[in-house]
Amino acid sequence: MIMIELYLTSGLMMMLGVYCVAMKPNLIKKIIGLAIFTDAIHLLLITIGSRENGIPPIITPENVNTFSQFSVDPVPQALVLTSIVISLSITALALCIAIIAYRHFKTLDTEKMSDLRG
Amino acid sequence: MMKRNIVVGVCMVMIFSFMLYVFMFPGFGEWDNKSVAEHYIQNSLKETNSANVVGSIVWDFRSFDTLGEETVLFTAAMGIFSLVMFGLGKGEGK
Amino acid sequence: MDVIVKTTVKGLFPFILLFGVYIILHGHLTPGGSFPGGTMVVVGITLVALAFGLRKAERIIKEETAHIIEGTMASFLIFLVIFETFFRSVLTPSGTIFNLWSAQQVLLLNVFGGIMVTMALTVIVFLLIKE
Repeated sequence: MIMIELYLTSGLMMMLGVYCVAMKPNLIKKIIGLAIFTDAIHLLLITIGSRENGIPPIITPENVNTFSQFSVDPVPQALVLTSIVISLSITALALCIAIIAYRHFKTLDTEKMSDLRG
Repeated sequence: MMKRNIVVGVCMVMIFSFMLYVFMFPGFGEWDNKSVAEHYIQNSLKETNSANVVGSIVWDFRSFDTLGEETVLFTAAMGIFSLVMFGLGKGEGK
Repeated sequence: MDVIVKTTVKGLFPFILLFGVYIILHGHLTPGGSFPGGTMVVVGITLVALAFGLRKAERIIKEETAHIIEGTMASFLIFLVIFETFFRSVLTPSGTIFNLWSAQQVLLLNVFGGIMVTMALTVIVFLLIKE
């Protein structure tokens, strides 16, 4: 039962993200829900590789000797750093496509977009 | 509308049970078989003189993953450029 | 925009730029590196573009120049990483441990990666403002 509040926060954010993508009719709100879902997955990945009484993986002149006993896992942190940049690229491209869709359909409502049929 | 509500509700219950399964499976905070992380922590100061273990993983031990990520960033910039030019000039332009 | 917003941005912009360059340069001693540092520099440029208009922001860096620098840095980074796996003995890390000039490979790649991230995100921001 170590750090249960972080796991519950991650699960709650995942449920909120799925709810926003599925139930909101506006296009911009769906893109925001996608970003929330991605951030919840990053939180879960970093929380898995931690330990109790852990210190961040930075070597300072004080703890050169006892460093390898207390530090947390550095490998998921390096991979999440890559994933954040990829999520930014996905959000930027999705917003660009939303701009072009607005110019073509004259509305941002997905229920009206599926009614028009060109 | 009713079918969509049922599908969304089942999806959310599935996600919540997935969270509970992840929570109960291994003992958290135990370092049973993390051989790669042990090797990176103990050899980061000897092979590269860097005090930042995450920085030495990203740029020294696994630098090809960072190269792939830079390619994704470059492709996103080129994609947005071509989409904006398509929207302004109807396929023409620089 | 208002007078308050313009005066605040005019006073804050050099400090944001300085802090971003500090995080890029000290990537081997403190948490940070090229990606957070490059994002902070781009945030400063975005503030100037929103408060003063696109014309004043183009005086800092033009969009065509950012394209050219981004392409050059991308090819240079590919060449440097492939060169590093085979000829590792050329850039052996030397120097005392907690100095600024200590881990040459991480420092060099951080600076080049920071420039490339800055230019790529500046291109994206200017194109989205121009619509």
